[in-house]
Amino acid sequence: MPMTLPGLKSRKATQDPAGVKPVMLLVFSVGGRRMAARASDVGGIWPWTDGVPIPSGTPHIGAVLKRGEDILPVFDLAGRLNVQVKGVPLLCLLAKRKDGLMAVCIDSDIPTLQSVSEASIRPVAWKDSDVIGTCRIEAEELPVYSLAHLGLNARSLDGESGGSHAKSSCR
Amino acid sequence: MLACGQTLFALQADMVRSVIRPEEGDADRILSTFGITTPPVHLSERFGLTGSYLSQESRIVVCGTQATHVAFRVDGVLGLHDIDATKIKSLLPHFTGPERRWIAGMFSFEQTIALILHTRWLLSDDRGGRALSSPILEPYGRRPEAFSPTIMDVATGQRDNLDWNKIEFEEVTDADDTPWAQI
Repeated sequence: MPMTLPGLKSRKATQDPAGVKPVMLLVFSVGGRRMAARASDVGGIWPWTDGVPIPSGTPHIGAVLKRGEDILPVFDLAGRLNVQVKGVPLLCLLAKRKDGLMAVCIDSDIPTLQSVSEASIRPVAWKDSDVIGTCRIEAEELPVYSLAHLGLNARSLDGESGGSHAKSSCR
Repeated sequence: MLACGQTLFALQADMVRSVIRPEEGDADRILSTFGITTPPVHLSERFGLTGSYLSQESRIVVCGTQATHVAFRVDGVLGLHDIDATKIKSLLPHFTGPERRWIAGMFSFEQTIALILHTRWLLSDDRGGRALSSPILEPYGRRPEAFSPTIMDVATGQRDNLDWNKIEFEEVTDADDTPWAQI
């Protein structure tokens, strides 16, 4: 009698009839703007704690915060979008950027997970953007951010002395 | 340990020559004994930022070597603290601007984080505004031969050799594997 390896069945079950691999997206909001990112690029969601400002010329990275024994850079996504984060308590999204974890302050709205097909993410190539595509979720077309490359396209776009040290919208 | 706005900075203690109250009548005379004749700027101004106003806690810090002395103003001096060199981390790789010249490393200090200043940068003429228009290089002084790396510089330099691109993350393919998703 043929045997099924453990795990294989569940993997098949997660594929849709067309054989398209599903992708888990995390839907969250910053300044009231809803957006999504691959859940695999998210290291966790925590209550937000204020960071320590650092004199910095790196665009949108002007603070660090403690998380246990670790020290994480704070990426000011709200500042990059020219919005203010909303709600109390604010949340901290840990973004798995390719050069290491970053803390991102997001709205207090609890993020949700959405399973979509890979094909439903329509690629876009916006200049100087962290958005890699858009995806229709609950009748809304949401931008899908690449957390692995968050802010890497923004480098050298702005840079006053001290950079975001004096401008951060959320530490 | 120095306070500058909300941020704490650490300096190797043997670099510090004097700590002066700005309102002291003979502050200028004390500074002149170190060969310093220009009014000290706020440490924030060294980064191209705006310094804060004088307060009761403000101090002028004189630091340097036998050859070179600089003075700058801070919002407070928190005294001497023994720091375990193994706890010092290099500046995170995400920071790619001139701050790599300014900050040698960081460490957890009580409930916050302290930043270690590059001593060679501190003793140099390098200022924030100019730093942003020039390539990112190691800090250098007026006379490189006058400087030797401090313990803190060496400790952070060793950590700078780590290959940060080799950090690996666990792949998450299913919501069941993301415990944070249960909030």
